[in-house]
Amino acid sequence: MSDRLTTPVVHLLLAVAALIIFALGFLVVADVIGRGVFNSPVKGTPELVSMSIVIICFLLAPYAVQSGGMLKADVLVGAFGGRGRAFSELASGVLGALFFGLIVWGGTEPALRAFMAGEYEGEGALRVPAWPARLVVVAGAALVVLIYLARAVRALRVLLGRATPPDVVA
Amino acid sequence: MFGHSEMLIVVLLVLVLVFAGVHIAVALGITAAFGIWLMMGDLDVVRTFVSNTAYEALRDYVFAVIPLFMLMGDLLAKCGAARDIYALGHRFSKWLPAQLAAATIVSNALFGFVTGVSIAAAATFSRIAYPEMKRYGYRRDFALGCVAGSACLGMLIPPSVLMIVWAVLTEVSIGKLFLAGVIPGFLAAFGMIVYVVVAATLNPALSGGAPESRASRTVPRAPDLTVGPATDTGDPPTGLPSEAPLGPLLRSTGLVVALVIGVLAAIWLGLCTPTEGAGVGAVGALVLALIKGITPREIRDVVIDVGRTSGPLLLLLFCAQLYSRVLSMTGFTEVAKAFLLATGLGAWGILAVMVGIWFVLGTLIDSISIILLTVPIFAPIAAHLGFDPLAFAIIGILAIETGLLTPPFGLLVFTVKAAAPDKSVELAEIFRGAIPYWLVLLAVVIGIAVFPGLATWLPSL
Amino acid sequence: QETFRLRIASGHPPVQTYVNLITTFFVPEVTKRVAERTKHKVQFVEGYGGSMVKVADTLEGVQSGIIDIGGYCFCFEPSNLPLHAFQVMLPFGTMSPTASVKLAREVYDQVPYLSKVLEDKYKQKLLGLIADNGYNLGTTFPWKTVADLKGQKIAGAGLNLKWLEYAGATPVQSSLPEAYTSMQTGVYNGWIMFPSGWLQFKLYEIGKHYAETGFGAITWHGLTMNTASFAKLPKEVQDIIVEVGREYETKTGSVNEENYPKQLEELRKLGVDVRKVPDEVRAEWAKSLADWPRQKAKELDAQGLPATQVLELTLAAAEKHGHKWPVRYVVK
Ligand code: NA
Ligand code: NA
Repeated sequence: MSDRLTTPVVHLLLAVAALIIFALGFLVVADVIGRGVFNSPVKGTPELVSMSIVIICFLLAPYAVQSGGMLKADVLVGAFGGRGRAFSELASGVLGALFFGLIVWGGTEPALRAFMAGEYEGEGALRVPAWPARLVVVAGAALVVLIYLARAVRALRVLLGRATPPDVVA
Repeated sequence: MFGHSEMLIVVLLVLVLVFAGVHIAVALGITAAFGIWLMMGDLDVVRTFVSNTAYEALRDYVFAVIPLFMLMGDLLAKCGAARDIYALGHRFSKWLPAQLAAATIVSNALFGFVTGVSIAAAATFSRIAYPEMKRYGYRRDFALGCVAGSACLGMLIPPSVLMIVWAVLTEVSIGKLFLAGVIPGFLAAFGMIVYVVVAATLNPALSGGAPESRASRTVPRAPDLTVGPATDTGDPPTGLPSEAPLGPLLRSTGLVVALVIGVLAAIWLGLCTPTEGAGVGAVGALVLALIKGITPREIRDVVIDVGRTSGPLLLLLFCAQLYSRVLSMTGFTEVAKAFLLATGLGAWGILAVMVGIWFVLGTLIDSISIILLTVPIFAPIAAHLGFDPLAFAIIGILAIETGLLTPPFGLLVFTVKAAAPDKSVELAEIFRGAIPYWLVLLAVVIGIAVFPGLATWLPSL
Repeated sequence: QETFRLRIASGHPPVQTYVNLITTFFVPEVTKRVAERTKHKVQFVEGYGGSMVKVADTLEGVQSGIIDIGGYCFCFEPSNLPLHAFQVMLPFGTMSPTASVKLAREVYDQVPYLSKVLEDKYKQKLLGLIADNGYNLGTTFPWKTVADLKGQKIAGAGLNLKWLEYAGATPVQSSLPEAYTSMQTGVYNGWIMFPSGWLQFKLYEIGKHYAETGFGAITWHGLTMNTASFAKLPKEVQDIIVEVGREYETKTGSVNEENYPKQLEELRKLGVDVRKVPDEVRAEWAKSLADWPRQKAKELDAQGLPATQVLELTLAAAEKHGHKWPVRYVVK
């Protein structure tokens, strides 16, 4: 149900993150060449790269969860068959929503503050604003909450026998 | 005492959740959050800490190595590097008994320099090497075990995601840890080759030879093959000509290996940081792929795929940092150290306990999660006992790697099963075939424990 | 009869002098005195080198109470505590860590904002200021005149990067734990660094040239405690923590002062070319930065901070302790 709404967004975020990874490669190479050949590195590369990793992680988080890419150890639960899997899906969904909910709850205010106050990391010419990363952390986590809740509902329906256990819980 | 109950809860809860099948990142994260709540009794503190760590934990230059090395490996793999390497290994091992199996191992060792994850190797060689071995009448478990077992080399030979994660957690140099893996990696490869050669000599039926006529291997036997006549000119399922012209093969493989070795050497020689090396490697791989005619569509697929695989990994890293911080706040690391030292097991006994724990966890959980769960606790203890951090890291990585081959959760075995074109293959067969490789890894673990120089010598140069 | 568990942490590893003093002086002294003088007990859970908090989120860690006590550098808080780097804004100050920490304390005593902002906004009580030994310039390459530094990539940790501007060097932001590999790989070829850092992080293996430029001993670290954790303790335990905190503060000055000549000697023994930079060069350098303190004061005043007052007090306090500025900066 909510999948219809979230899926395009999730895929868009995946594409953006992938593009950032691709671009990082070029940024790093430009920095190395600039430093090695022209003795002038691309200023702020380390700051930009480290900021990007946070952004990449939380852009990718919704896809990781929605596509079933999150690592898990379901050997023991697997012994209980479809219901066992549905149970661990339910637990993952509820706890996952709670955990990422904490990130949203705790991160919103600092993200707003970072935007308003112009918080930055680094110094001098190398200042990188903090708000984009803080914002992506909150937004990505919020989307993950929705996805986890939807998965929990689905798993609950399986447990209650209102839906058949899907072959691929993905 | 109050403090001890906190740490027990934090340790036990995560294990319960992990074994209940909860996503490992979530298990780590929610346990960490709960641990803080136990300590502080204040939800505001919990949410501040969790969200702040979400922003801070990954904000480090070094984490860019992960997606960038993946990008390099995937690009090179996409443009046929594995196939070229295999064709080459095939050419150069003609004189060996069980030649195709040996070629698979050699190719995996070489391909190990390209890929940072073992699964990629397992999937690729299931499609390239397995049909070839089958065509020549290798016994199925022998062939599949070889593909799964030698795929372990991908994580042991640099670059390796496991090494990167380990280095990040323990703050040892990534470059040095990469170097430390080289000799043990080759040693493992050598041990595996010795195994296939000896096994095939003792029992020629394993590698498709009839007990007496296995001397004349130039005429391949293909008793169970229905896809056309058995000639040595070409092979429809893999498209791998066993007599491909050497020149182009050497050139393309040479370029790939030169790029990767060049990048690794630059890191080892201190010409660039691991992040820069990975960036240069990724862009270099793109150039190579473009030369080899990769299409924009394929590039897009590779890049998106890197996004797919790095997402769960980065999340796991964030949650593990959160967890390990909370674990050290409860004081568990100190208590565990004191406890283990008080058992009177001695350094070797404690090492054996750790390796045992890795084996057990390895049968159930994926390698990276195991590192994230255990290394923050084990590494300080090992350091205290006087084990060299590099040798200890390689021992740990090897011990954890063995879990990829053991039931019930053997990631490499599953991958081979899923990727093998032959759908009648059974998991049990592959698990059985991989046992000798498991033993080889174990032997290398013991070797490094006794002679740490195997791991520490190269980085000390 | 109660046992209090306190989590104490730093993002820096214990090889660094101030962290070393936390674990060898502050922690055992507080534990001992509380046990001896009160009927209570204090038990510390220690976490250094980033195992509980990283260098850049220690302030937040103490603020949230996730750790009770934290030691950190204000250089990683350019947004939160811009004025606390005030000694950096006056380059070529005293090279004596003892004097540096003393005069910093005098300024803190006269400008309540400096401690109040920590308590009101960041929920932490300043237990002790922390001095480093004097900043100089270590490089992988030899240099004779300031012109030799032009175009070289040189690292610093924050605001002190500004000092390099005169020399025409390219500033690179970095932190000590990554210094060794960065210099080895040529990310930069020099560091504005005190002798203890050059020694403790083995930078002498790559950087064979250490010039006593005398940028100054800077007091811009602090040891702080979460106000709520502090309030929970009985009065007599609080008193001991405050008392040991102040002794710790003094010790960061004296230990660094004592170590300075020893560490330079050790660097020499390790094959580092340690040399003094002539006073004229220092004066030239300072002259080039003469306008900066005023600019910086203006910029921070505009944010509503008592920057002009702090810088003037610092200038005067340094003179009172016998320091002669190579250029008498004018702030107003
Ligand atoms: Na590898
Ligand atoms: Na396993």
